[in-house]
Amino acid sequence: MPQHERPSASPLLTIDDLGVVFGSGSKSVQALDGVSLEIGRGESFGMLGETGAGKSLTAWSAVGLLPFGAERVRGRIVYDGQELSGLSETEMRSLRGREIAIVLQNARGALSPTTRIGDQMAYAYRAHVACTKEEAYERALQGLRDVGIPDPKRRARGYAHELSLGMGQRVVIAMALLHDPKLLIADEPTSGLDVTIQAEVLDLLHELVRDKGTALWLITHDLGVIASYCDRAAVMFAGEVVERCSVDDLFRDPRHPYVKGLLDSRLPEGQAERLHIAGPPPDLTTRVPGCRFAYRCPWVEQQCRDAAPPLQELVRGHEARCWVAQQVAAGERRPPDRERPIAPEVRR
Amino acid sequence: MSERRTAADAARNNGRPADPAAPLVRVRALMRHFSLDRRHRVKAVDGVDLDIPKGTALGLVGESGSGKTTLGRCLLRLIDPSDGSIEFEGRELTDLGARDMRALRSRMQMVFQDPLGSLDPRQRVFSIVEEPLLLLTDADREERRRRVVEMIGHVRLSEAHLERYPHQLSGGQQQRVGIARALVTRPELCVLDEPTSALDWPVRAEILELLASLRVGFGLSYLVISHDLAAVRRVCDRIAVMYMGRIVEEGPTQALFARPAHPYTTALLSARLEPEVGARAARRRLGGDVPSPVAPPSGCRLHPRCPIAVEDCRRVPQELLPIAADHRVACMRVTGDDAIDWPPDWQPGGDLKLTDAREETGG
Repeated sequence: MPQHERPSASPLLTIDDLGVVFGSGSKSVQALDGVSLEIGRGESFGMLGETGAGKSLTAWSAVGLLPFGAERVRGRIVYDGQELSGLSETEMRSLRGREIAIVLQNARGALSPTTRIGDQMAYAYRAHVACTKEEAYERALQGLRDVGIPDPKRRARGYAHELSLGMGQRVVIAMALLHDPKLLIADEPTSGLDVTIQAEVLDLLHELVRDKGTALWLITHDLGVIASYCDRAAVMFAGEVVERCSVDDLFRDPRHPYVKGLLDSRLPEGQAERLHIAGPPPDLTTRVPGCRFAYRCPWVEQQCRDAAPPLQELVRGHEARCWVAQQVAAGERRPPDRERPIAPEVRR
Repeated sequence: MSERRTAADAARNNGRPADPAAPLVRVRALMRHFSLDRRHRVKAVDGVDLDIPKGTALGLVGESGSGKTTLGRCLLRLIDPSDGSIEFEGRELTDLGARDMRALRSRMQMVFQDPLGSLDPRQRVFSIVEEPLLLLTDADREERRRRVVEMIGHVRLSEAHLERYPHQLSGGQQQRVGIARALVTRPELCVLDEPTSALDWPVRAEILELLASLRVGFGLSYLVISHDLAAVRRVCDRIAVMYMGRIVEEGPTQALFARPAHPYTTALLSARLEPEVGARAARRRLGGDVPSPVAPPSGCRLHPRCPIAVEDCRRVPQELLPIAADHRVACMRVTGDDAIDWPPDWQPGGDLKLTDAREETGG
């Protein structure tokens, strides 16, 4: 499949060596440290990681919406050949929503509770396009129709609280796609939804971006979402990208021990050995000299504690941040024996 | 093995031998209705039959609002059922008084959905795990300490954790504390409500492995309530699928995942996003949304959304009937254990839209 090639010479979005810090002095938290990624035009890019790994923060940084107290300390963000850090807030605003749109987890939270759905969609349209209210409203109705909402006219007169969760998420998607953006960022768009609704919403999202040629940046902690909808993926841990490759490679040939452990936690049937990587979240307030995953890594060596490994290309288009990644992949190292969970003795 | 267990049961029942054939839990025609106002009631659980044989794990799956959690809570009488019968080791629970029920509580426990929210933020882990022993047993101080320490080891926490407060623990550790609290009285039945939601994948895998090993070690029976199909598949022997307050299919885990029979189960399983590249199965989509539980459809509750519904489905309520040994389905259109023919380009006609249901609610 051709879409698993690396993106062409000019990617749509390039993030290079991004660093974001919360607070200052001894209490500061290095939330993002040297995050680099590229998203090609029209590709589906997945971002995977556990809670607090910095997935959402990376996306928010990219569109200039850093949360309060966070500061970008280094790095470049280039969108469509344009360096974003030089832009004024006004220029950023004209980009957000029009060129780059965002779908958040909580649809009802993203919609205004007091404005009719059609009206708020029309406002969103008129924010970037000079047109009459009637034209904007027409566009809003068309948007609702595109996401398969039955009886859009009636729905447009309704309010957000009248929508089911799945329906709400469809409205938010319709709103995000009003301006035919080139990049759609979807941050955990379906967590908390039931499986049937999750599949429906993601199938729809996937279909729409494919038809319109929109690039999709899908942020999730769910391996199933990545496998089903993405071409390439980056895995984050403790504010760093630890592996970056095609989704095929990620599932078939993971190189970073964290990613290997993550794949082992999928609960396949009849699995005899599993790499155990669960542990407390990393402490981002202290800067460790070595690899940030070392404290949970089954393969850890002295080298890993002394120096932080760089994100290096192992084979074409497949990068991992690990000193022992080559050996891990070549099967030269087996997972170290660890105490298997033993059934407790029956004593009544 | 089974002989030993039966002997142990007999000892616990004060010499009265339990019927070895009787399941640990037997639920018949269970109902729980909630009144909204004088005219409107939500039938959260509406006629459920199920058995949990000793030492087995039953998974209860279904979407939000299908009544899974209400059923689980009724089982332990955390809420009282409106009608029907619940037998625990052949003993009817629904007419037990508060005192008798309390005496049974140490033998049936629950692990709650939200690990942090279900732990008292002002108590240390030790007191949290000790509390059921204080309330439900007459163990003395030393005995309680011993049992708490032992149980905290079984859930793979260390004694150092006993002095911590819940907010000082990670999500996985909080869930382990919840499990320790439930198991410290050595119950025979444990109801687990969404034991792995809100956990990251590696932690989820560890919790599921822990639950599986505890079950073997303690000879526990589980009712696992979850919308995480992969999780119940891992832990449970049998699966029951709920839709709008009723069980629509019930069978052995392997058979049910390999050959779902009921149209609802088929649709539910086809919506899974398998964490494998290229594993995407054809979606089996139902029409429309789940109708309002205040005005459930007549006959089979799935009929307005079902691709294979016929006129009779609208009129005749469906009973759970066996299609194979140990595999029951509530669908008149399913006869053998062959997969149903899902019309490839099926479009729901005349479906109940959510709006319509809501308007009925309002009226």
